[in-house]
Amino acid sequence: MTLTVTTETIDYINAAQIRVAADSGLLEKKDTLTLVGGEDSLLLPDEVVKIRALYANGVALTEVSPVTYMRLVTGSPITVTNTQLVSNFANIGRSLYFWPTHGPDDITLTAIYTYRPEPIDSDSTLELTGMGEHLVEQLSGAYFLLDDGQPELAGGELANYFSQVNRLRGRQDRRIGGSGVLRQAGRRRPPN
Amino acid sequence: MPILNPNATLIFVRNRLRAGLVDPARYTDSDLLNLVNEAYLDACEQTLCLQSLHTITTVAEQAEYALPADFSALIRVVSAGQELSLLPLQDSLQGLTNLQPSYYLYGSKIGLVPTPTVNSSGEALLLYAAAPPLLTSFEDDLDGRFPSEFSDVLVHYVRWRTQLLSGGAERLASASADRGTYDLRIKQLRRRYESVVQTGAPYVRHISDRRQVLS
Repeated sequence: MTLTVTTETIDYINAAQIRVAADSGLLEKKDTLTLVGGEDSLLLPDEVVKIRALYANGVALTEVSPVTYMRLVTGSPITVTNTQLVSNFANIGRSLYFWPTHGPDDITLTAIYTYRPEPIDSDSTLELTGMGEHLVEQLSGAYFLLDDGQPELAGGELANYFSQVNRLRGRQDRRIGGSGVLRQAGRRRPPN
Repeated sequence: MPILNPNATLIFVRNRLRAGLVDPARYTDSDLLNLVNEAYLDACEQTLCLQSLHTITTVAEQAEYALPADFSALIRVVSAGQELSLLPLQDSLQGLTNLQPSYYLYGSKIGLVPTPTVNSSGEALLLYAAAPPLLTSFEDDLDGRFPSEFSDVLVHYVRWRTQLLSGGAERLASASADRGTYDLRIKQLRRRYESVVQTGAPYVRHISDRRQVLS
């Protein structure tokens, strides 16, 4: 039997896989980013969903909230030449902002982040596998049902999707570890 | 099997809307684009997702400064390491002294209280939410700060609005379903941009508790 794959089908699958990847955090990679000398910010690649960890010169940088970053910059506007002293960053919009400001050497950063997969342009293999692939199938089916005017059936599929994707995201989040301020919800602080 | 190129995000949004429930005889592409722009603006305003940082270089004896051109809502203002609080407009121009550093807003202006002096001039940082750019065609791209995985909110909003206007019991039920899905997705998008205001264990617990309430 020959299956006809239409552009419409590809679109539904692409929309579903992007959402599953972002909701679950299943797709993670390690890559390098460059902070140009003298600059205090860099633009994140489009594929980045969330930074899990960021390292400079082998040392982990601490993520701070935007307000904390703003306080640091306006309260302690220092510039350092030793790139190893760049110790904090904040994510605002699609940019990462760093403190202290450094110059003039570039800094190579190692980032571990969750990302959105490339759109497929045929019925080729998805990047998401296993449970992720199953969720893509489920979510794209829900989209079909919604657009076909069957919200009740779609609601059942979506409820199941939310339940499973929350479980997967919780599992991914528990792998972060550490004692920083951005410890994920539900993780207890160990006794002193 | 032929290689099929996926459609861009907004073209896919249009195709989903045209799939059955938004009648092209009643809503032209131009009408649809207007509704998509409305959805885009509503989603961005409710979630404050298009966040940006703006620097104001303060000048001695100048109290008021222009807001960015794409300004929609102010989130935080910080100067000299201290967060500024919002001052009611009725108090802002009274020349009150001994006030904690504050700001006021009107029109496209922000005013700093007290007025910066020679000794205090420097920088103030504004964390604000931007208004989305107007989409002029379905070939346009959404703002890079708007997560592509949330583009379905545009579909649900437009479908809700068009079904509501069409009337009929079945369409009203469908409109209600789309409205519910839109609200849920907006809540999820808004939660992504809620962050810890200040580092510290009590605030981590606060966010943890709030997530339990919202989930």
